[in-house]
Amino acid sequence: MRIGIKKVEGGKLVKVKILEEEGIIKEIRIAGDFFVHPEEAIEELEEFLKGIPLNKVRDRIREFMNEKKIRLVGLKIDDLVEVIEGSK
Amino acid sequence: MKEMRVLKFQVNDPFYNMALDEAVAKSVGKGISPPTLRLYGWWPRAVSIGYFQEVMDVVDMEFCKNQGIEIVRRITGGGAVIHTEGELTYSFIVKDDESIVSRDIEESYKQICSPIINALKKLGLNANFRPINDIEVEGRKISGNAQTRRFGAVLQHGTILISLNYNLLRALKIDVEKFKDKGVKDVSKRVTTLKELGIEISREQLSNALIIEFEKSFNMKPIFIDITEEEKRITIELLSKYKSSTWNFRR
Repeated sequence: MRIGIKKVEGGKLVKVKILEEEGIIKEIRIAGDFFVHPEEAIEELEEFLKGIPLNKVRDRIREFMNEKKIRLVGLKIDDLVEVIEGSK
Repeated sequence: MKEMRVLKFQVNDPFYNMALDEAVAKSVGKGISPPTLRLYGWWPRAVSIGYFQEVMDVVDMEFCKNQGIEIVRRITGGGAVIHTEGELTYSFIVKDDESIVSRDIEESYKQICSPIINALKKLGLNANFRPINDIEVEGRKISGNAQTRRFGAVLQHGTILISLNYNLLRALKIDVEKFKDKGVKDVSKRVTTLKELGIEISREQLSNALIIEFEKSFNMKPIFIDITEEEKRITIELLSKYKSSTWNFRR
């Protein structure tokens, strides 16, 4: 399992746990003390990211967030991408 | 002048507390109940965790079990909080239509925290808002706040620390990363209480101070009425959710 963790400067803590196989996300959990509105979007995002190659995460997350008009408080889309890409 | 329903200070069990907040949000969102300020306390003691937190990451389950501390997941994001008899909790619930609080979430935290800051100032404290969702006195956190927007309502709930047995902080597993940007390593140095700042006040007295300041800040007249039968019914219905491990341990 890959784990990524980031404390956003002046923002919140985000931690990801990823099960990947040959560069593809099999399972992902995005947890932390941040805020997402609507809240259910984070579960939808976790579901959406399954089957996506790690190196495509940046574009796909951006698409997902913009399409669904999701508001993040305490972290930015880039923070989320960074913590997933940087997971070890 | 618009009316603000005040639900007077009451101590309840953790699951009821969270169920009632949700029931009121549903009712206010539908326009059945007026804007509401609710004041409450917790017994038994509890750790509430944020909607997005993993319980194993943030709660010392063993310690909680031994100490009789309950665990409940909130409907709001944010961090884990230990709720004890030394804390006053409030919730402020209004329709999500911009008439009372801003659409801008970060701005609205500031708006809703401002009466709390004013109440602390009246007690002689140099309190200030610390974005995103904290209130600090002398650089230490005295109040944490969390917001959700659903059911057509804005619900913000938060805490004000009157006193705290710091040993109970062991209930929380706190990531060292969390305070990195705030220049402290130890959670007990990150928080403060009214007692430590030399103020002796009961939860009821502090509640009264908050009611006065919310009235002023939002220009709404407090009316002291109870929850509706419908809200009671929904609260009872929601109790099973907040008591369930499906909800509390969902992540």
